[in-house]
Amino acid sequence: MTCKPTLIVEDDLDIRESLQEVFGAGGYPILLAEHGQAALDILMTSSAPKPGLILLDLMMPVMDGPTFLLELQRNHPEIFAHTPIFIMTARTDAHPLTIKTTGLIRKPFDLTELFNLAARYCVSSRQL
Amino acid sequence: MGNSYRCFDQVKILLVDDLKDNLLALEGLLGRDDVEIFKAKSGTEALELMMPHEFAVALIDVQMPGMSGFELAELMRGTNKTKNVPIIFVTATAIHQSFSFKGYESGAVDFLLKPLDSHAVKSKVNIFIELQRKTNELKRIQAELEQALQIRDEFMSIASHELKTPLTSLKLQSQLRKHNLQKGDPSAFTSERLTKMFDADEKQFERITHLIDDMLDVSRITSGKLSISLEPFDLCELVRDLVEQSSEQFVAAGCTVDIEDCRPVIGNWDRFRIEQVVTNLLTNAMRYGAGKSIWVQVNASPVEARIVVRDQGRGIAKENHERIFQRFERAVSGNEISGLGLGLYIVSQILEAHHGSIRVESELGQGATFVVALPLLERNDVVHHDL
Repeated sequence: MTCKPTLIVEDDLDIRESLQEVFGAGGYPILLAEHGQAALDILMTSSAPKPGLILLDLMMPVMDGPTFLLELQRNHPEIFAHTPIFIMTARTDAHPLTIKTTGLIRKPFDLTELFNLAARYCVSSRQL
Repeated sequence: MGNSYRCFDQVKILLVDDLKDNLLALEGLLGRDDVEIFKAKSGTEALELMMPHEFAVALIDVQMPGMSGFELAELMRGTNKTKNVPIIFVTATAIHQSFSFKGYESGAVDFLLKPLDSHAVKSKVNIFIELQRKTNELKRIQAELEQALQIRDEFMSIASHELKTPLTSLKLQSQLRKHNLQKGDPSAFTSERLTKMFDADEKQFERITHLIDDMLDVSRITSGKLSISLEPFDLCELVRDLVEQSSEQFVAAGCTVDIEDCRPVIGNWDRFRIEQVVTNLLTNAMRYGAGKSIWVQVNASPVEARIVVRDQGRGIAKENHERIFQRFERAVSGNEISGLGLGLYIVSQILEAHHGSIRVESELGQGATFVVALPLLERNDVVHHDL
């Protein structure tokens, strides 16, 4: 079964590449965006598959994580409502996010944690 | 120092008497450069003055028409802002030892009998002035300490956040290798892939080292231990070398660097620290002016050497020109660019240790020009000094 892709929104190139390799090694497809606006652009492209999971960094240039969440809620309410969204954070204190997200994953991540997440939220790409 | 010190240190006292002559006499007696005297001709006037001002002591005439001195004291007792102002009553009639008035249990209360003994008045008032001065000093120290603590907490938070970014890559890469090894996947460990891995690791080690160096520099600057060791070298040559060394990074950032003017300028400076300054300015120019040209100049006047680095980036609004040289500050919002926000702070501190300076010329959207000035000293003037 092929999963729907995980949308990774992260501005740090090295972390993005590492995540790309990790998901690749696990056989999970991904979509990569370097900031919130790039992620919105991907979601606007009708040919691109809709994500089954979103991993979102908070501090990013151009459009940060919280703004992306607001835009997602406004412009893609169906994706916002049905896609699990995890915040990637290096902070140990809780983020006062006003918009509800599914959960947090803390940097530095654990490979197993990422694989578990990908497996748990793997939605067949044939389902809609 | 001067004004700001005086301003903070200025102690205020309040004189309350219905007779103008009495007020003037007391003012003449108590007037000092470092004491600001306020005069009120009635209890009401006194209460009005007590709202905006904090008084070290109030000298209150007891016998006043309308509100008496005692009535004024009772009203003062009823308000938080005024209830702790020490009071010295001035009275013509002897007051019975057992005198007490309602409500004024706390705060110092003393009496002075007319005719006033100028020595007694001065020494009593001076005690309260000194007390107020010490209180002010303690408040100032407390505010400084609180700010220092806040800066440290903020620093720890930013530093740990920044350190976790390279750590995240390293940890994932390491676990991925283990994963591939356990899967017995030889294609993951070809010499080409291994070389790539080691290069990637090295990049992360450099990032971590750089962050830690910055943290250590700040700690040295804060504790006054940034040492400068001077040696003669050519500033132009140093700048050329650094531009050359960074050529790969410039290409990666899509920048071209044009050394417009670079005349040999020999001076006595700390080579390592000046390298840090130039590298920092070049890195900023690449970071904020990616994809565009950067111009560099090295020239000199008879008294100073100048390094000019100009980018075509987003520019810096006038109101931020000073702020960017402070700790943990950058012109753009914290969410946009990662890093400790220490680069220009360290640069400005290094230049200060050289008795040099840095300034920026820029407007929003117009790129930025950083101008570094370093003094040109005669050889025998040079002293090896610590900051």
